[in-house]
Amino acid sequence: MQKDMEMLNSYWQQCELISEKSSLVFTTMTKIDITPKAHEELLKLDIPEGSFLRINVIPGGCSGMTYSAAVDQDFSNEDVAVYEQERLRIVTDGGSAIFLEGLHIDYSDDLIRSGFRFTNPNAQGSCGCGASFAG
Amino acid sequence: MSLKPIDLTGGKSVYCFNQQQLDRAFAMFQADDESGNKIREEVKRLESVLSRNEQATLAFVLIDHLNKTSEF
Repeated sequence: MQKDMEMLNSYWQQCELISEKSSLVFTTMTKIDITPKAHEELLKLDIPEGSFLRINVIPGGCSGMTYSAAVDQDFSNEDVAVYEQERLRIVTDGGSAIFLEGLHIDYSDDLIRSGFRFTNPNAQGSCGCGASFAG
Repeated sequence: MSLKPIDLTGGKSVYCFNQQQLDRAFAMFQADDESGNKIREEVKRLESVLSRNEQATLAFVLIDHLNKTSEF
């Protein structure tokens, strides 16, 4: 686990260095956008220090593909870091990264459409809340 | 791997409507008859006294009760 965390920290440092030197290189990385409200709700998941949130794309849902999320500690060479702000780090695997590029996550308190809302620019179609989509 | 799954998508879908059901409901709602008038009046009254989340709760509870008492 220590080795994984060192690898993850090294990755973030490299991202910071690259972004300082060239925004063009940095923008080629997979990035997702999270609203302040969604960020606040994700922080409530209370992800332990040294862990991160892993969001992958898996087959499922009414539109063919859906998102899986889990708290993880193991960062591998095939993983891609897609978000880091405050205490929140989000990682995905290489295969999911292409589907997550530009993903927008919001959170709604409106009961009829409550919870996390996913807007994916790569989706050909999606269900109401965006939790399931067609690539 | 030490994954601890988190549900960000709100869990499985519980009740699913199809277009035919919605079309039939809106036809009843808009109909110029006793039932249509009754439904419109009640919807108007409820929308004026209940908040959005109260209306959603009412809708979910009614759908749940209707499903549980369905013969099919």
